[in-house]
Amino acid sequence: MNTLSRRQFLQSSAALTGVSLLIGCSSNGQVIVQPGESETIDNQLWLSVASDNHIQITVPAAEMGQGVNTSCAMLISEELGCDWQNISVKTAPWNKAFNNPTFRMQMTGGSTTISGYWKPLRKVGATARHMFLQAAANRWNTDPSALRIDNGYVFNANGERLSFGELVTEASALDAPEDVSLKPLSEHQLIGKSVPRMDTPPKTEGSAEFGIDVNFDGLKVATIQHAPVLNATVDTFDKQAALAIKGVEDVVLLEHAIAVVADTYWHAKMGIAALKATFAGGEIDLDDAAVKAHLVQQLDDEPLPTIKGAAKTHDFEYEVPYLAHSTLEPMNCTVKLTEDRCDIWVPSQSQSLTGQIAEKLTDLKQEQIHVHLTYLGGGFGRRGEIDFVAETIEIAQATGKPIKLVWSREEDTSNDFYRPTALTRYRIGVDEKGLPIAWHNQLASPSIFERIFKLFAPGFISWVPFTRIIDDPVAVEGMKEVPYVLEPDFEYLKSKLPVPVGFWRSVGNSYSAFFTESVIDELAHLAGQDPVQYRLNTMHDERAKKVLSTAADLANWGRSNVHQGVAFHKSFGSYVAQVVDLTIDDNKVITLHKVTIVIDSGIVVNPDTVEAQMEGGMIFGLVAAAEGEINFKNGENVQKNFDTYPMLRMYQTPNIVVKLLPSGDAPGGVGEPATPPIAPALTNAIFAATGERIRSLPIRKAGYSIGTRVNT
Amino acid sequence: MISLNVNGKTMTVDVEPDTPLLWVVRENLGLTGTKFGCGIAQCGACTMLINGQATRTCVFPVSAAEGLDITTIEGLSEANDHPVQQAWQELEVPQCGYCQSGQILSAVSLLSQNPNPSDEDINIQMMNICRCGTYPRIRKAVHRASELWNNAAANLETKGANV
Ligand code: FES
Ligand code: FES
Repeated sequence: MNTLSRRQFLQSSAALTGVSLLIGCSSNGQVIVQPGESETIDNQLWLSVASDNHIQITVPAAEMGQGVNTSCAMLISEELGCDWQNISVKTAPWNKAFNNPTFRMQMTGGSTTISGYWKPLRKVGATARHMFLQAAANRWNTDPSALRIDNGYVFNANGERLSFGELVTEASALDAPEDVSLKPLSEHQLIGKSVPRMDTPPKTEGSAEFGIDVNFDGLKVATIQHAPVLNATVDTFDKQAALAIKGVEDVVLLEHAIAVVADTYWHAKMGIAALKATFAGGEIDLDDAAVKAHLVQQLDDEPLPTIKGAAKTHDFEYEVPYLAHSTLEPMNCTVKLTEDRCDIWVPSQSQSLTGQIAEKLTDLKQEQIHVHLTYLGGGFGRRGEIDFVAETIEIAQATGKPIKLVWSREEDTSNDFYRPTALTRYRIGVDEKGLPIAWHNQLASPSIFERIFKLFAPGFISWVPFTRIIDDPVAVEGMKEVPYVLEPDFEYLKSKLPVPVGFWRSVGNSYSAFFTESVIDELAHLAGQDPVQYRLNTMHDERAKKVLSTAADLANWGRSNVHQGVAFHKSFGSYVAQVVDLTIDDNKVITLHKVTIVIDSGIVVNPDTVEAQMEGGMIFGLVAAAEGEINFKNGENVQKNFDTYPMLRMYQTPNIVVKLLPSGDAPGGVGEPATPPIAPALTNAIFAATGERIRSLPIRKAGYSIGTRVNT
Repeated sequence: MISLNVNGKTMTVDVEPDTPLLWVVRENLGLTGTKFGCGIAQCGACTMLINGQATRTCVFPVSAAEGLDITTIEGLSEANDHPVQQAWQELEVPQCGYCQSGQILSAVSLLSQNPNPSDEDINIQMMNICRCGTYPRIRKAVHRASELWNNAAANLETKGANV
């Protein structure tokens, strides 16, 4: 929101909702939908200040553990100058007033909540502040510049004060100022300080409501069995056997799945078992070998060019497998549908996509569709999809009942939009000193954008220009540009494979960091140089150099008595370096001593949350590097639950040291950037310890495992 | 009819005896603080205290729980102030929060048997999955809870908390 016209700000007083100052705004570049005569501005309300000083803030994004309820409230509160204790938050409904300017829709992803709403949220707060100042100035017959605001009060030079609540009626009668000024960074009192998260107390007493917890009178619970083989269809099933189970009410056949509706999840699950469904067709020839053969063929068809004029030429080949998201809360959604209204309670990363699929599947209009986001038991990109929403709507339509659909863990793992597999080849020419002078790189990998584009074409085009969709910017991120060479010769070959692929925390960066940072490490060793120094010698970006050298210093690089590996990766506008300290025994069991993480994410809003995201993001990448792999056999995924798709546990988790290097630039993302560097930092450390270079993840395939941590 | 003692109250439910306790508590008793993550005793999201012992209730038949003391997250304290909850808040442990009811009850179980756990004890006892990776904070919070709990031990006894 660069310019805010008066039309874009809506305000009202007693007439609408009692005595409150209400402020709404549209997102940048969107024409605001003015509320009709009879409507309230409730659906576009960002901030309300009541006469009892209670402040309600609408958080435009989904709270999935990244702390946005708190950090978004901080942005408004910083400018408003209110008493933090008086704030409560709610999550935005489906309304384009809350679009993330980055995507031009409501989508919590791409680590963009703070960067996207950085200006709009502060403008909302600043507008209210100016109105309170003006109202108080009018009351005291003075100029607003003679007044100051502190903790929910306006003070004048005589030390008299008026609370926001006392000024609400007068403030809401004023015109909203056209273009308010924002506080300079140097005057920030809240931004940059660690503020306790608002969602912590409900999450320690079990009262936080997740999607799976939604309940009301008359609600029925469904569960589902999808065809285990990709693209297969339901063949036979024993409907009567399922209906004979106590509590089972309906059996609903969907395109690639069958659902059972009952009074409880447990009865629905019994019903699924009783169906003894069989399936037919699908991609039964698909397996790991077929996937690999396709990728190899793509690269073989486009040989890398011969390099002339280099002292030496090095070829490398790297690969990564498919990965599942495995949010701890399995996919679920609740839908209540009547002739003229649809309510959806869902742990989703996107109000927009949820609402749009309801619009498409029902005859209802946007005003009749109400999207209520619950807390998300993990998102990681999986909950930006709406497959489970569509299923729930279809089951509600088929039965005429309000439905909560809950997937089993097995269904969740088996029906994911997996992190794409990828195979890459490099041919790099180096000079006499071993520094890269020619960099040829090809990537074969399926395109997430291709699938998304088909599904959501209109909304998506408004987000990403068409030419960029053809490229698939997320497939190539971190490879098309690398910190070490100015103009890499990079080519992306879009793979045609039937496995559905999707956005997995850090997306393309999740493999490109592994590829780039392994290759640069190989080049350093081939050149006989220290891996940190070699990187610093070839890097161009000063922020990158500072982050890397800070991490090396902090980790005692080169002076440690254990083996170390390093990696640097820039993603989502943030710079992250990680150093892994490890030792390895004769059975290839790794002891992780420590992981050092340094991040420059520009302006930091809530430092403790950033630290938490560094810890959690790194661990998310670590378990993928160690164990993560979805295999296919006869068209079916092999891993179904945590017994075969293991997660990292407490005893394996290393000590983690995090250092934030905030800088004066705009805020960068923090939810994802800690995930990419850990895989190469780990494998580079394994190389340092053993001389074995791992070029295919996970490390489990090479016989390595993560054992018990070293306790301090 | 099966009679259950949940959070100090006796409740009767009409369910098949082999229904997992998790689903009876969530769906029949309406206490949804306990979560479902895997259904095969792998993740610990469904952890409750049964006679003070952390138990994965997604594989625990309700019939086997008859006559035993069951504590869910809702029954741990009146005011969200059990020493373990306090430590969790102090250290800002939760991210998405979905695993945390189970993590907290696992920590309560550990600390009630071993008031001063070492890092090794925590490694062995705290085996629940956290997909968000809050393990470093859980570890710190268990140590902190141990301090708080030991300090408040006498006080806690007089309050008669359900542990
Ligand atoms: S749900 Fe019981 S251990 Fe995972
Ligand atoms: S906090 Fe999200 S799973 Fe533990």
